[in-house]
Amino acid sequence: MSARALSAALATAAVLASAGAIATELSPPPVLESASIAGLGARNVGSATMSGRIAAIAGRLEPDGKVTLFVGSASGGVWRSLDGGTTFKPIFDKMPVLSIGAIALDAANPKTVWVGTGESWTRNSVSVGNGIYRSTDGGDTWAFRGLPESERINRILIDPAHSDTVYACVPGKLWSDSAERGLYKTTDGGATWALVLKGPNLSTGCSGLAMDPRNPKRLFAGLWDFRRKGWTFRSGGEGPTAASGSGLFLTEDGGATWKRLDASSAKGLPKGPWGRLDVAIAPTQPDVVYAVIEGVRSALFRSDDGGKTWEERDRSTAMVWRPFYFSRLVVDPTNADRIYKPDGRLIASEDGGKSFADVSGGTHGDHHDVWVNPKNPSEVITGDDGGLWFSHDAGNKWWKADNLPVSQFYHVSVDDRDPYQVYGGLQDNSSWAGDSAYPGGITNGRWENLYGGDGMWTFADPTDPEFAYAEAQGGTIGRIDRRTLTHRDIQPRALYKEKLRFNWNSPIALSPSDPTKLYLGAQFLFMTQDHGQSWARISPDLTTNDPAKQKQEESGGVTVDNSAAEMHTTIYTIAESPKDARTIWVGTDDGNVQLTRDAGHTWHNLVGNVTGLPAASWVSWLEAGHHEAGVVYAAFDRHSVGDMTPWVYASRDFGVTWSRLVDGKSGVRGYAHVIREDPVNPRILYLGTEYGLYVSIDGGSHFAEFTGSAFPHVAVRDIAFQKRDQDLVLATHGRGIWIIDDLTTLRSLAAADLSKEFQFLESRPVQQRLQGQGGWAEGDAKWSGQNPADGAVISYYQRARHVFGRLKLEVLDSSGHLIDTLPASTRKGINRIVWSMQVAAPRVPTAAQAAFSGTQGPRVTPGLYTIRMTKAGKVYERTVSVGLDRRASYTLADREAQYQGAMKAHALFGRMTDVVDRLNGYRLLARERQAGLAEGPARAALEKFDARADELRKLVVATKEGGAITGEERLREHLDYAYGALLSYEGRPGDYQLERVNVLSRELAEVEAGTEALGKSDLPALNKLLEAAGASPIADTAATLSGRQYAALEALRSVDERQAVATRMRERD
Amino acid sequence: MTRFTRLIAALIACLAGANALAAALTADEIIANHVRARGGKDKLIAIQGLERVGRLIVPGFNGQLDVRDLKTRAGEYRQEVTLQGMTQVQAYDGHQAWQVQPFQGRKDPSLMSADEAKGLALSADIDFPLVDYRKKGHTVEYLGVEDIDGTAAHKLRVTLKSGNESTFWLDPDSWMVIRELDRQTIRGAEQLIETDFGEYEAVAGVYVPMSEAAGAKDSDAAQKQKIVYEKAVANPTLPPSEFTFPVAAAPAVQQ
Repeated sequence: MSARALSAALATAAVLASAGAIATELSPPPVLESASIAGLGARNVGSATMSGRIAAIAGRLEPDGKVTLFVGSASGGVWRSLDGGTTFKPIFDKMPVLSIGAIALDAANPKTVWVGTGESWTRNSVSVGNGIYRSTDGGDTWAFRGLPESERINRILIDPAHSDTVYACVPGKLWSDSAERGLYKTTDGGATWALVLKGPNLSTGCSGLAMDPRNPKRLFAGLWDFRRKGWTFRSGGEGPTAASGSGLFLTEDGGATWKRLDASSAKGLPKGPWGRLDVAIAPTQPDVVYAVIEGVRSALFRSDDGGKTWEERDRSTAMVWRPFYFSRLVVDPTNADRIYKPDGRLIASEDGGKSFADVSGGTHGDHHDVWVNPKNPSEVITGDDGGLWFSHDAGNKWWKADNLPVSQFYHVSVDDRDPYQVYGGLQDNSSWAGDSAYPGGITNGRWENLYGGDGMWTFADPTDPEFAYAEAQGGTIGRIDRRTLTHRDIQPRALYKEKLRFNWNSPIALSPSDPTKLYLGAQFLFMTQDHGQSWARISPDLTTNDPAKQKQEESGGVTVDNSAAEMHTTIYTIAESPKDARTIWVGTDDGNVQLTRDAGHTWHNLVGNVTGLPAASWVSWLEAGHHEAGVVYAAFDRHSVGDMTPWVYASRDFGVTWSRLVDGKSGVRGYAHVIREDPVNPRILYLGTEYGLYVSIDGGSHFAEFTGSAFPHVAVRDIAFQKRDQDLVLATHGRGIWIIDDLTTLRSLAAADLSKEFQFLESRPVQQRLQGQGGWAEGDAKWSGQNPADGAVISYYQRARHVFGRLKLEVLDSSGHLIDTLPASTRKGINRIVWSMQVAAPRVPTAAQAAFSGTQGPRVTPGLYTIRMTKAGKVYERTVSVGLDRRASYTLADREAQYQGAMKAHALFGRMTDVVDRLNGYRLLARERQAGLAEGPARAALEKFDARADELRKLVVATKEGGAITGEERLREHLDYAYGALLSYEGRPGDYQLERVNVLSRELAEVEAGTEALGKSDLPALNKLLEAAGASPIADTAATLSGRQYAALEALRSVDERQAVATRMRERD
Repeated sequence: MTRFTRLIAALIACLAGANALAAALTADEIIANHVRARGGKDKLIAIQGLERVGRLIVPGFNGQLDVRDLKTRAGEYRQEVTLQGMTQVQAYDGHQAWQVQPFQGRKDPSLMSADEAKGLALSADIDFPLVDYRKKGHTVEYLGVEDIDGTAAHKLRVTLKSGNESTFWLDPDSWMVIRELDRQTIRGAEQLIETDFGEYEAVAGVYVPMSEAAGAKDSDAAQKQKIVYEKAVANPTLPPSEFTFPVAAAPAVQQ
């Protein structure tokens, strides 16, 4: 850019800047944006030890023999491995949904990958998708390619000869009628789609698809009639004999025409009605076709003539169990008779389906997909509710992937340990407690299993940290002794001829007023104050008790499936007011908002006051205000009637009047699971939806999505506060537990002027946390959770990204001395910088190897420090108070003694550096004078001088090179050892340690004296000889080079170049 | 409508027009804007060599790490990291890469692999690879706008002549590169390195990033290694020995 153009640009910028100032004057204050808060960051603490449900697997054997894997998790996105599963990376996180139903790899274009969103294993907790995506760069970036109303996609097949011809098998919407379901086909890479096969009604979609490898226009497709409601599910019709839209179809012309295959048209197929079905063609013998069909007589069927006739094969329990959840057939790509059927157990047949054996081995169970290496069929990969598993012997034994943190938490809580632990239950993966921090990282082993089943609410017992409460599905609550991991079943039981109705995800709530008090909801509210020894019912039936929603024994459709998942007319959320223990809110899954203000004696259903809310809306969360007893927030989840929009309300008058905070137009995506009020600032609200976390700092008028640390668009189903550490802890259903450290910063942002160019924000009081060492090498295939920042966190806000000029962030002590300059962050919004609280590392003399303890400075002593930011010529300051770790067993005086001792060693390193620099300078100049000097007294004196300098140097530093363990120790190495010991413990040092530094100081003093003598006595004598020989003398002061300069000179290894570079370096320094 | 609101309306219309134009931008237009904003083609070309010195900050490491970074328009590169007077060197002379790793007691140079040399060759580009990409044998694809920490940045993917790939995100207001993602293949395995650029300052009329923070893809700023350059000099005297493998050299001073 020319100077003229630059000045023009600056003028334009000035106009815009002044206009911006005008706009600021006339506009309302800036609204919180996602970018404003992303810099808070978040850390995932796991875990991959329980991993989570895997819905789809695709693999490709690469020409170099490696296996590329794409793994679709039920609600945690797509993960790619380029090394056969040793490491995985999430590659779909920036897409709007993370529920995966199908993955397809284009055989003709290895970089082309298709992903169908929306899992098709339609359990009660299943998430939703929003269409189909394609990547043409191997999964790095994705483009939406249509089918926005599909909600879920079961299978994608690509024409191997025409990459733009793709079939998408769409089961469609689970919770509502929809015409956008069936088998779709595109011939233009997804630009347009045609529905080539559809069912007879609005609840029938596609459940299975197979393509003949000899003729890609020949396809079998399965249609499936299904529907889930909050209280029932049907696969097929409403009962075993009711009409169903399910069926098996064959096309020979790429979907233009279809032939229905059933008992009348294809001999051997069973009579209808049918439920879910899948179909598979044997790659090595395409006339061999398998179909698993749910019906009155569910079974596996095989055709050996391309589908004309069929024969019933296995119909064991493991073949036909829970078809809505297990309906995949995978034929070995090298053997038409070897079939895998993922089910509750993974079963395999080697005789064409006549018999099956359980090959699950040590896997978790509840399998959903299988991949078999086409060149090595002994290599099998399966995905189940517990994650991903590898077998190298065709399913006899299994190796667990410990690197997929796709755990599906329902809830989370925290305790008050230090560091605190997090507690939570997961879909089919029990209830766990895990560390929020651990030296070396929060590895999988830092999580402890507490219970079993589908884990739900889990809490530490506030009265005794050795105990925890945990719950599995259906209200099966237990109290666990963490010392022995034994538990006591404390679920309240039904009275005479009574049935208690516990939700799949029955609420447990701790009282904020009484640590002994625990609530549990069925249709009644139960309360215990003696750890479950006895329970009091403190309410009547708070639900609608609608018998039409209590027919779970009829649930399932063709195949009865009555788990606790469909239990309805139950209590779903409980909240005792932190301001008034007698005020308790209860919400039910059938739409009641109940309030008692007299500890349960009288109850009032207030849902009728919630303006605009449709009847029978599932109350997903009630949050009693932390600051006013009359305040309550309510989240309603209507996805079970097909409404995916958020419904969030607030009331400030005990539920008499309500205002809607969030609707489908507020920018918040996804049905609402949880709304929480900040315990310190009532203007801050946290909202968890099916697609992420949203934050408001203005009482709910505006919400901004939290996207910090690449937080994915995953369901946030619960939110907990760790009040001591001011942390926000998120339970995601698909990506484990995440922690946003230190909400103090967000709270100060809420009080700040967002239009300001720059401002410091608050952070929690700084502790110098004890720095333990933990963990060990576990290879690359293990996942590990992140620890909180190790240091003092400095937070500031910038209205816009800083691009030009310096951001100078300095730390000064109470005397105004500069301690450190920190690398500033330039992003828009909140920035967080970590100050290690260390003084600069000592100057350490150059030697054969690095002195590794000497690469660190000791931490400063507790006290007040000033943080100074210089930005665009303006200076901003704030103070930071640094304190000891609250767990420290030493006093402030001990800490100061340690600091003084370490600084004494620190200073000794500096003295050593001065001596060695001086000696190296002597040696260097002596060598240079020798060049070109004839033999004689001057040269001999130079050699002697050089030798004496080297002799002294070798008293200070180790000099044996070669990369081996030389074991050579001189003063520097001894000091490094002593210094390391002083740094290792921040309490009072041992007297012997301090004395060791004194001893080394005395020993160094002898070398210093020798060096001084060299300079004061030997050097003048040498200079006289040099002058006599016509050489220039060696000036004592000019001889001293810094260690860096000396090393640079050494590296160049050429006298001429050394001199030139030395000159430049002196000029530069 | 008041005078102020008319002015604002006009500005909004103007900015909306600019946004519409932005939406229609091509890769070449974006790169042309970048070159202009950096200082212009002439001034870029006038810089034949660049030396920057500064400090490397590694999370969790407190030692003083001095950095010296040299590159020439001829495609040579050298980076020194000095700790306790020992200097680690990684250098590339346009053909081969070599290094000195002194901290464990060896100071003699060793060759780096051809795969690693590709990484240094990328660092050797005195401009970003976007500039004159055709002449350099690269191809560029515009991938639209993507959010980078609150900035709606233009995204350009460069397929390098070496076969590696780098993606750049440019600030839409300043046209400076704010992020680069390098995809390298080392011994057949993919490595992704994300670098954030900032604190641009004019050096001989060309805006040069004076801070670079590198780490894993999507890592937070606090997790990245950051170089803060304190000084940058255009066209320093750089003898060939800075870049060439010191094969014939012999120690001048015995340790």
